Amino acid sequence: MKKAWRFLSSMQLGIFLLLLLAGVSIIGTVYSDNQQAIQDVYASPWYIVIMLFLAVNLIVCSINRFSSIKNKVFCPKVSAGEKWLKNQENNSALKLSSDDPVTLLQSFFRKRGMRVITDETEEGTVVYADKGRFGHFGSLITHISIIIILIGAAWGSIGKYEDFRLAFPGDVIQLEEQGFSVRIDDFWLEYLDDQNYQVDQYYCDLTILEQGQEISTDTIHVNKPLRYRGVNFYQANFGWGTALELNGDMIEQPLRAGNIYYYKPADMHVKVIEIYPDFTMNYQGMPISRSHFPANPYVLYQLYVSEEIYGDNYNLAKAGDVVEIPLPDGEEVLSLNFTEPVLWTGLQIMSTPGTFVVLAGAILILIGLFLSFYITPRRYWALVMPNNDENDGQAQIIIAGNAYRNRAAFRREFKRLAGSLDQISKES
Amino acid sequence: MTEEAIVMLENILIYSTLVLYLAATVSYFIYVSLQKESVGKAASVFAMLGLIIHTGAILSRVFISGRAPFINQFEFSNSFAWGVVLAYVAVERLYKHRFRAIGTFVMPVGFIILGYALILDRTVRPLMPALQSAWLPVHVFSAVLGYGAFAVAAAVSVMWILKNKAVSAGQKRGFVLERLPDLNTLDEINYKSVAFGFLFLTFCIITGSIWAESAWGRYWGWDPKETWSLITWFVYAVYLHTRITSGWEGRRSAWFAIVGFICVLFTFLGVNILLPGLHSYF
Repeated sequence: MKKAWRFLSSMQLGIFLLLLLAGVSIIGTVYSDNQQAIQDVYASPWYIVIMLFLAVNLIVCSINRFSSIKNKVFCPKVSAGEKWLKNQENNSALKLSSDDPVTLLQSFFRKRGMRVITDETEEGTVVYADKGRFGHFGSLITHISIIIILIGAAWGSIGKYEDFRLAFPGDVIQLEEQGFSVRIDDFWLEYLDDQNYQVDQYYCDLTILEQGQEISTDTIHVNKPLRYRGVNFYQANFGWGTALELNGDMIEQPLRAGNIYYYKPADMHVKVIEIYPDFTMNYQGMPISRSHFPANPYVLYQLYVSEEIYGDNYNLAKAGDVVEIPLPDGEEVLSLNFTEPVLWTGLQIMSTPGTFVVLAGAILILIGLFLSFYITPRRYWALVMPNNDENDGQAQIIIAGNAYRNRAAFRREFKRLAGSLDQISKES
Repeated sequence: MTEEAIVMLENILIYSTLVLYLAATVSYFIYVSLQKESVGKAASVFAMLGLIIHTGAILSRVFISGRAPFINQFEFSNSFAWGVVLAYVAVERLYKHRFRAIGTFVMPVGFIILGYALILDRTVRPLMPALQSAWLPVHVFSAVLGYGAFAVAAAVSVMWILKNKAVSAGQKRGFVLERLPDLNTLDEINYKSVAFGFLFLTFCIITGSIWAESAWGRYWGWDPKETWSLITWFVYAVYLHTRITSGWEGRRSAWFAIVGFICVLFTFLGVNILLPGLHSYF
């Protein structure tokens, strides 16, 4: 059991899992154009199992190290004997001419922003000072934050709700499970200039309805979603539809490219192939739209009677023009008018629980990393030996220090500090 | 100043930068070969001057476009090159110009990336709807800083490997042995650069996710660029851990820093060229 625990908490396991994750992730990117294949890799049992192992590894490792880290921060080793101090990598012996060397040392360290703890021991008074002790929490916080992110991500994948809806102004999107609806009040484009009409941004007015009551109205655009009761509405894309008037009667819903309207009285299907808001012919004679500004709207359509093509294979009609279509019975004429182009809005509807958990973990990991890299814990011990008459009024001090990270820089810092103490002793 | 005039100014500045970075690279090489301090000083001046003029070129683009210079492959490559030289100049100064030999290995990286940027389409384009966000400058700038630091780490790692080879082969004299800084210093610079880079890479991934959530509806979608940035993150995370296990500290770190930078280059370039996705406009 103990062996298993040690294995699960080992850093080697962690390194192995990270490398494994990297490798599997690379495989997944090969399928980048196939959305389903991507899900198959990253949502696969394999990947999830590796993540789970990583989470366990992090949890066990954190539990193991927690008390020793806590002690380093809150219960430091203050007492130190002469022999131990002289054994430290950084140590120095000094003489201070001062009647109260302990107070001198305490203020010396405090002036450098250090926490000072004094202890009386058999060998003398120890003035202990440390700085950056919260740096010890760096790796612990980083690891815990990753666990939090994994938990939030798991919650998100399990409880996710995702949908995509196309809607024309006036349409109402019902969300039965969530218990409210959204009505599209308006949708419009904003252009960059008056020559090319490049689209700058597109906006949608949405009203939230609960049991017929209007709760709120908001305008969304790309990068600014609507958030309501955990459900988010994102402006994803847009397109064109066209209104259609047959024999003077407007059909209920505008038609999008590919939509077919069935006119029962004549057993006729009107199929919209494409809508061109800014119609022109390209140099190959193909119809295209120059921009998304409805400067010259045309519709490309087909007609079917009794499910067979009626008339030309492709017909172009200018928006607003009435087209008189003689019906097969030879007597009646159908007047058809694609009155005007209408914009539809593409809304991505998503609800991902646990997002705030992931965000909290993300902030925590930045804090953890900052502590790990830039708050270096270091500590000093200054042992003030009891006074002998031999020392002619000067106090004997043994000072030592260590830092478990960035030792080279600490060696330099120690030398400087010991040098400063020496200076002070010479001046006083 | 008319827009055309500023575009011309940008061109002048950016080509001047290219020349200066080349001059710096060559000077650092000559410095390392001849060990003449004056040549080394000139090299540092070329690098710093180049950086300043490069900043001017980038600012003129900001002035024309009215937004952060980060939205297409040219703009990002340009900023990446700037980030590499910035990281190098910072490191050289932090160590009080004692290790100019590092310039020999980092300046070429900055020069090559800038050269690559200059073959790309430079037309100033307006922002697409999805890119109109305050997160754009924050997210991409953190990548610029992080990648620059990783470039320095990789360069210093190459130097470490060369020097270590000479040392372990028992050489007492030689070009590499005498001209390159000592192994401990190289290793220390490697670690500090990776630490800085890792912090900013993490910040870049996080801000990218926050932005993705408000733009695309999900904070993570396994898009190739997202995935490769995570792979890069995993590699550097392993790097940081291998430094704690004793033994081959210097060697493992050097190799991981190089592999990590290859992942950075793939995330920056390979993804756009080889793998499509939502990120593919830059």
